[in-house]
Amino acid sequence: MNESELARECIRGNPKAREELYTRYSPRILALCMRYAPDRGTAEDMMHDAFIKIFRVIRKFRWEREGSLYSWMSRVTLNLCFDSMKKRRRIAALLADAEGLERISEEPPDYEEASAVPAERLRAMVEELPEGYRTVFKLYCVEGLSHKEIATLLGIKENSASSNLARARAILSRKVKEYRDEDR
Amino acid sequence: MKTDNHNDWTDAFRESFPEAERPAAGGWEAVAGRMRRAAARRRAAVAAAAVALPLAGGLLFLPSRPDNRDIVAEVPVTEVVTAAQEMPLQTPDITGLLADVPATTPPALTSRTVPTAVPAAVPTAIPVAQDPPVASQPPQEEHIALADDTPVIPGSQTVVQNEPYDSEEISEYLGQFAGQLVSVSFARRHTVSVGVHAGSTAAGAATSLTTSTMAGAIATKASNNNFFNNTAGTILQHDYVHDLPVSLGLSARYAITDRISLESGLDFTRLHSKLDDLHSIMYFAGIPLRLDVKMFSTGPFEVYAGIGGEAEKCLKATFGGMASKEPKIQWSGSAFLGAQTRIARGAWLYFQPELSYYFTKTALISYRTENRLGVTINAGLRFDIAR
Repeated sequence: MNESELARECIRGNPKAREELYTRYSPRILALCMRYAPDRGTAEDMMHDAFIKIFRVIRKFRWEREGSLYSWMSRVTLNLCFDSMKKRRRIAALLADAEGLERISEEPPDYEEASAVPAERLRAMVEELPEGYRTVFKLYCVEGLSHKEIATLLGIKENSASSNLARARAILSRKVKEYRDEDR
Repeated sequence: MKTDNHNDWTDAFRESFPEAERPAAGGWEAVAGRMRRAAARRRAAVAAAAVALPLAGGLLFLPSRPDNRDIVAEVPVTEVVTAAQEMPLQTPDITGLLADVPATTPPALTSRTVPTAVPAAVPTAIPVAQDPPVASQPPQEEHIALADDTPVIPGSQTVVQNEPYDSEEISEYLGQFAGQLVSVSFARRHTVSVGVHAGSTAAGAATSLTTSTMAGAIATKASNNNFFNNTAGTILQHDYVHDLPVSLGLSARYAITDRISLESGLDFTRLHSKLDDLHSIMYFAGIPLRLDVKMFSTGPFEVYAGIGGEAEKCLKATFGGMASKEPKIQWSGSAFLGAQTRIARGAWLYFQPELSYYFTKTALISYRTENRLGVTINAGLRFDIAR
């Protein structure tokens, strides 16, 4: 069953198709949830919530091309993940923090320099970022959302998303260089 | 979303995150079980609605308790008479009530012969005096007769003989009376009242309660330990303090019938939440629509119940002094029980607890986002302005 057929059968409410959808996509949805959840147990719960939501709203899905099903499912999951984050008071705090930090103007590393750092260390660097930067960085660089999509998801202004991303990139750039210098 | 081209050094970070994780065993069973339970709940809700709606409909169209002044119109249809019984017919004591009957008395019915076979349930009860049969009518036939020159009340006569009459004949006959008699009954009261009210909403999610004063009204602060991102499994835990929403409003209530009333108006609601030193304040203007049915009434005291809904639009929202947007219309549904007592001529004091559910979440964290189901206590005054 290809992606469009799978989606069509799920829309019809076919239980086997739903189970197939879960089996096929749950590892990726779980990985997505784990990037924003504090622990694995919470991520599993989020994934279950996400699939229930997906099955409830899948009639709204329109298949366009290969990969669009996962793309749509990931947006539903992210919307669920950040449902409360739309309550913008938190983002207001993020903006205030961004204003207070000093500017970092360093030459960013290239891809080879960054990829030379072990994956675990790279993940740790991201997790060490302040929450707002971390969230915006993951949404932009890992999930591939645009600034506009991030702004909509988080309920912030588009330029806030880009300024937070710039700050996150600057901090990570410095960390990569520090790691590289220590390693030498 | 993801690409294999390494155009940016941050791609190394993207690649450091695993693309897939093996879920725990039994995940699908958990999801399927929750979906089955949700479907069962939906079916139960539909079944409950299927039972409740006809019941509610029946309740709405249940005739109200007749007013004494309306008895006049009902006099002709209060008793069943069968000719075979040949028992003395009871004459309702309506002389006094009919004293006001205008000079155009009901038309008298002259000798009429009607067929046999009277349905048992035919409502008849014609105001009659127990006079002997009219001599001019042949025996073994039943007649309903009124003397041409005699007013129906009190001089009307009905002669019941052996042959019964049918319902159509009687209805036609009674219709003539009704046309006359209804004219002396009072028209149904259509009452319009306007009111002012204030209310506050409480919900079960509060973890601790302390009393404080807010905007001149007594409110209770509910301190909730909320996760900022509760569905996402949270990023950080925050301690929100939500003041109970306080509403003020004006309303107009129209009594469609003696028992059923429709109410609408304009409500203003203030939501206030606090996180550390940051204040979140929202002002809503709402238009409610409520339908209620009087359940019990005794003199100056009435109890009623009903359902309703409200659409609210945010007029102003700020968080930490920054303006925020609340573009969505906030929809809510409610069921309520109310009691009102007349405190002066045309003035009522009412108390109306209301169970309400907010279908739309506010974008800013507020009391309503944390407690979508809540009990609102409304109290106010109503003034009858038209009757």
